[in-house]
Amino acid sequence: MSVTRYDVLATQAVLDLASRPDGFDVLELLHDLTTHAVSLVGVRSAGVTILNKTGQVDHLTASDETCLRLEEDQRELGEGPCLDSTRSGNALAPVVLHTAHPDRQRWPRFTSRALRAGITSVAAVPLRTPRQPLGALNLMSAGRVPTREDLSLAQVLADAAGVCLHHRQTLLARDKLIGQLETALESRIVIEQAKGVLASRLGLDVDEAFTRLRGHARSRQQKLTELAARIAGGAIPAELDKAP
Amino acid sequence: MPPRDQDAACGDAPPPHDDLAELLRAHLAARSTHDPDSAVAPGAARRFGLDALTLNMLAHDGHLELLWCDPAKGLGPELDNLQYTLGDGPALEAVQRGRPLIEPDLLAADPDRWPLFLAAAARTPVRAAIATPLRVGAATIGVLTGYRTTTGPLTPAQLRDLDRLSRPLLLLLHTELTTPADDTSTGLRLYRAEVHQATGFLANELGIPLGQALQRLRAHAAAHDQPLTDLARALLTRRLPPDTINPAK
Repeated sequence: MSVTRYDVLATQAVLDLASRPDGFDVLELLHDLTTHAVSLVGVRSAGVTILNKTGQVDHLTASDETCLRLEEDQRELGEGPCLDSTRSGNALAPVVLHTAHPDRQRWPRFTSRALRAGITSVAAVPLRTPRQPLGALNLMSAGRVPTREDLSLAQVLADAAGVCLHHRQTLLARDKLIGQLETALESRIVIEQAKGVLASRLGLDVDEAFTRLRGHARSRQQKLTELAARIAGGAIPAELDKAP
Repeated sequence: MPPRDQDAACGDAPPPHDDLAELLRAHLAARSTHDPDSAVAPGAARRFGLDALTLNMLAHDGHLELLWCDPAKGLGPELDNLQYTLGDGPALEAVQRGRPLIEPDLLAADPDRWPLFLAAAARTPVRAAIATPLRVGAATIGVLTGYRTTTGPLTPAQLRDLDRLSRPLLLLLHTELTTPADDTSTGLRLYRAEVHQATGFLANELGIPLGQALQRLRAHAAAHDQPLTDLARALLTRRLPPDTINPAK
């Protein structure tokens, strides 16, 4: 079996989606996913919807304006292939859209809008990280219905983007953890410094200084850390700045 | 994008049957209303064939903050305070290089490696040191340091166990540090609280910035070969006039 030009393009697309520099643009990644899907899977349009935990749309993009409108329609109507796949976390095998018997259709309102836009079948694969479902990649065809292999390739492309998003989430969570730890340590240090500043200023011992510091924060419903930071910086509130 | 669980940042939570993690968790969570110095039960250092084990976190200004040690007094805090005062030593080097290090014979070590620390440590019973950075991804956030009064390397099993401590320690640090700041009932605490108090005290007495006040305290302690915490206490109890710490005088 020889390597075809198509094989090379498909492999390059996977690599392009899976490896992005830190700080990459999420919407750009998702848009690239849709364009790779159109050129490699042979569908007319592709769209991506990502929902957050409360079911609200976080990101939405598509390979072209027609498809973008149909993605937005799904959000507005609350029905459609992308939403079904997003909610179930499973792939959606191609569904051929018919004009007849609109009330017997799976998505009656979406179907009529898709047909007006020239779309005759829809399919979807889940977009996911190794830890959680994120949304779905929607495939919209005019004419040829995607094969099982087409859907497999679409899933590989979506998973490559999922790996990239997972990496981004990990970095963000790490930054958050480090930030929380540093802030917590810093605020403990600053409270000790403020005790010393107050003890010197008011001629108290450290424990008495802390009692006054805490009392002042409580009576004014201020955060102890914020008050301490001001005092450590030399800005002592007037009401505190007199001997007891 | 939905936020992820915090513990995902340092991998999965420690497995429930990880006895090392359990041991440390028990030690760090141990509470005592009678004596804050006995809040941490003894034994963790011994477990790794060490005489003292300390946990420091890296602060914004590059200093290491001692937050936990076993045993709670003695060699561990003494050696960590020396490094804090003098500005060199194994814990600082491990943090700066982001790599673990072992010095199996401190008396035979190259004197240029830690010129100040080695000279001071030679007057204590310590003979070997090991330091392992605590890392989150590429960032070093602290260091786990072990000291021994006998020379020689650690066994591969001891090294592996020490390395495996990083993850549960990170989780504990996070849990303990993000509880309210005036909660004093946890095993983790600022061992050098008095030094920070004395820093604020001196800054106000002399009308200088905090960073400069801390620097003067460290320089004074180093020059007079005095433990930094003793110096801090002498200042705070007004046994030592603040002007003494003023190099201009």
